[in-house]
Amino acid sequence: MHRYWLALAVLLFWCRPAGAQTTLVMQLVHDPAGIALSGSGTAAASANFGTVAAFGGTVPSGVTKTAGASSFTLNTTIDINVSKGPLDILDLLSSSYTLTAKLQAADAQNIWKWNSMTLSTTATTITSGGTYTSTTPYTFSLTVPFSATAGTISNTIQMTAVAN
Amino acid sequence: MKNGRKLSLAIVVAIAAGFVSPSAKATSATGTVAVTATTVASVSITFVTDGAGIALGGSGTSAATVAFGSVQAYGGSVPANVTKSFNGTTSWSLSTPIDVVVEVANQTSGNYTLTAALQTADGTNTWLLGATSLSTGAATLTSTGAYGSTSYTFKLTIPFSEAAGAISNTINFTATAN
Repeated sequence: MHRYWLALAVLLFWCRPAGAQTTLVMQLVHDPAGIALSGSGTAAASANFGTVAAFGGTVPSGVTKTAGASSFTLNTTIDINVSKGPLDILDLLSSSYTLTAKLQAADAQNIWKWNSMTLSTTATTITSGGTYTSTTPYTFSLTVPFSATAGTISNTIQMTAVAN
Repeated sequence: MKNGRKLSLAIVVAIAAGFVSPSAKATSATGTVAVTATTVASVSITFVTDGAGIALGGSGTSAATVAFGSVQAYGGSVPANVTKSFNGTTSWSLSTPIDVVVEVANQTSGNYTLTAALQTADGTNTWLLGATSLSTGAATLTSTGAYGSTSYTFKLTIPFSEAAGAISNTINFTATAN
């Protein structure tokens, strides 16, 4: 008799909905006032500022450019939504999350900021009180020195949300 | 507790564990934003009110204006930091310094070439920047300009023979990184 119950338990386990999330889910979302995101709504988005110049030229919609004495900065807004999966039993008691961000590759030349926090390859805490299921706008800025050689700048910002 | 209830409880625990395991250890989520931008070289030119010059409209921008107001050869007044002078009995001049600020970005360049040209031909008055007389053809003010701020004396010479009235023109500057 016990074996039948055990078999039932195992069967229920393997038959749980395939898409059911048992942990947190992060989505990078296009902000209405921000740059267009490729892959918006997923966990792997990309933002392409195209060809930009310190003086003159144009920037994509949702991007502002400011030139200082020795550098220029591109600013935009990117949204993040972190939610608990419907079967996320472990996080039932979690009411907030901590969000960290870091650069995938070191960049000694340009300055990357997420919500005014300068990013490096070491994780930086963006917020320790993130609200679940709330699409939250974050400012992103990239500062390029005038002294930098023209060319392509690319990097990946890695975000991690951990349940509190 | 009867064996049946114990077994039921064990099953519930097992199912719950099944929902949260093996991914139960992960109470975090990750996401990435790949960012790409391609920078190109650029040069900026702006005009700034010189400390000893006339107040520029649009100082600090690349489209400034100079307004001398109502002036006359004899008598009257001129704006602050404007000098009026006479050239014998043939003409009179208004002169004032103007700062030209040239910056370069994302390009290796030690200096720049600066040219200036009148937007509209003027066969009556004489327009000078420094010692360079301006016409509608681009005149080189410097071919080794140092980046930063440089003061140029602007001078407008008006013949006595000219009828009174408004004089206006636009000076088009071009800075090119060397």
